[in-house]
Amino acid sequence: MNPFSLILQVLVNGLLLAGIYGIAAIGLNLIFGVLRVANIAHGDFMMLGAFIVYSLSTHGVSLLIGIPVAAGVLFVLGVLTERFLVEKVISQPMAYSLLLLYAVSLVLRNAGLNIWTSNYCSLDPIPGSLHIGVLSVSEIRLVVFVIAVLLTLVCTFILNKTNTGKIIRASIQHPDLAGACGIDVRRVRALTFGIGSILAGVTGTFFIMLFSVNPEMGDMMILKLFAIVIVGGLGNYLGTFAGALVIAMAETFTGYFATTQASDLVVFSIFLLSLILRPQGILGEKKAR
Amino acid sequence: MKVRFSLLQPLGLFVVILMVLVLLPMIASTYLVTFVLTLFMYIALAYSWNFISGYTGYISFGQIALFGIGSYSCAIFILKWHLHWVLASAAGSVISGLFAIPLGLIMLRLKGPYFAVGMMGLFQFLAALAASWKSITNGATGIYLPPVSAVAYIYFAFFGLALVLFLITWGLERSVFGLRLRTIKEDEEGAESLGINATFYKVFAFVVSALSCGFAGGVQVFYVSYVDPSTAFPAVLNITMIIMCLLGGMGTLWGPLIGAVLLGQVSEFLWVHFPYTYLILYGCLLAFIILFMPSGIMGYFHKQKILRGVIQALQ
Repeated sequence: MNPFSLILQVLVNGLLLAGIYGIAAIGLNLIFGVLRVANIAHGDFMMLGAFIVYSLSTHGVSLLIGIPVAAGVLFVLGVLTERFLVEKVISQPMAYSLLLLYAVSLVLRNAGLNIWTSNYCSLDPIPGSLHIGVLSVSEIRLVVFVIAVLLTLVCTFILNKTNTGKIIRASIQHPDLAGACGIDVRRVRALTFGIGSILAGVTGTFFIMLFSVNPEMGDMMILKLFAIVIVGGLGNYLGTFAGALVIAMAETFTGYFATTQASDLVVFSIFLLSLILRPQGILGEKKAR
Repeated sequence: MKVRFSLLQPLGLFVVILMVLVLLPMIASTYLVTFVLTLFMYIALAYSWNFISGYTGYISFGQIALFGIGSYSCAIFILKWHLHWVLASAAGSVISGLFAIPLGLIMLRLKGPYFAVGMMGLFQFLAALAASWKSITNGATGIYLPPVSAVAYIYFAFFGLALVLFLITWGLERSVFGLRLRTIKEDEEGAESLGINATFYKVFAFVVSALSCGFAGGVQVFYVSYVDPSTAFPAVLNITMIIMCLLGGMGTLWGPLIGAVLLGQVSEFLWVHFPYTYLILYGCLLAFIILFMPSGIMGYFHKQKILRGVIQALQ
């Protein structure tokens, strides 16, 4: 393979990865936007989605059933987490919700380790790949990417064009005023947390379809997701996708041309750099901190 | 409240306890000494978390990263430069503190969850780096140091650290510096509008915390005479120090001490016997504390009239 087509191949892989990261990061960003809460357990929600599908498929359940089941479970979990934990401290400083969600993360991760052990798991690889010129792309990655983009578009559509979206946006902009207009902000918060959790869970199922993961995957994921959201700008959904692109490209390139550890370093450096240079995100407007 | 605590003359009691603790290595069994020694390490770590997260309200999920930096620096100083272990620990502490300055300036400059997530990431990143940077850290094999002959010195090192941190916190409680940190916790914008340079105070608290974590890490390395990625960056200890501080009451003088004493040895026991399930218990305990007693045991004491006198006497 000549260097040019190698770089092209890595670019394509990066793009496909960005699509997957994008969905989870949008979930995280949505939760932050509505609740002003950083869901530090987001990576563990992903893990749960991944391993629900894994368990189901080892019992012979098809992915087409497994993924909706995982999404349903994650929605319920998200709503419950919001109602019974986060909602109680919603008016407190952010430290409280951070610590609570950290507790959720601890419980989920260690429950995961108890149930599925710390071995890396993956689904049986789904064969088939497309060859376009010099490029070769596995079909399943392409399908996952298309689903990811569709999901993102659906989310953006719901947020921007539907009544539900209007209610959510109103609750982001001015929770008190939204409440005064008859919006049940508490319900919106629970719903948003549920939707965000679905997005995390679905991303998790994609992960276990494409890579091998273990119940500690949340550890490395959460920093990447936050790096994406911070690079893209908190509360900015288009920016989130740009952020996902930056992180995924950086990760894939260093992964190919250096080592995986080096890609961790690059992700962390991007996180710090974006805090120094553009805390408002790459597409964000200049705003007061 | 008519009861006078004549027996509990605070200063006298304090001196007596100190004397007992100083004499302990000479009179007690090795088992008891190592028991108390570990307790002192927990107390020191709980206090160092308290500085940054308890007083400023910026939650750090990876303060143990600075412990790890101290551990590795100390091990390398002892092995390559043949420094005395106290000097090596102090050097580790300084390196950890120097490292915290740019880090704090970047992550604490902004409000929001950046610091919490950044510290979490730093912790994981450094642990991964320690495993892969073989020329310095010897990778997963770890670095072996000459074994320790006398536990008493280690005991005094941890005892001294815990005592110093206690005294610093005691000073914080009654100084303008501590008041400013609390102001930042309550209302950062308000503090800035009063002319308090919030970033400076936050970074300062962070660096003090880093110095003490680094020192604890160095002494710990000398004590176990071995360092590898999982002993330098112990994930369990990272969680334990947070929960100890919260259980006792964050941002208080006695909270970290009470929390560490209550939880310290229990955690050691549980860790050995229930390696995974007990972290689930920890998660539940953490959630319980935040939901039902956010100001910890100290906060609970403050609400009860009976004990208010004791607290006032002690402070």
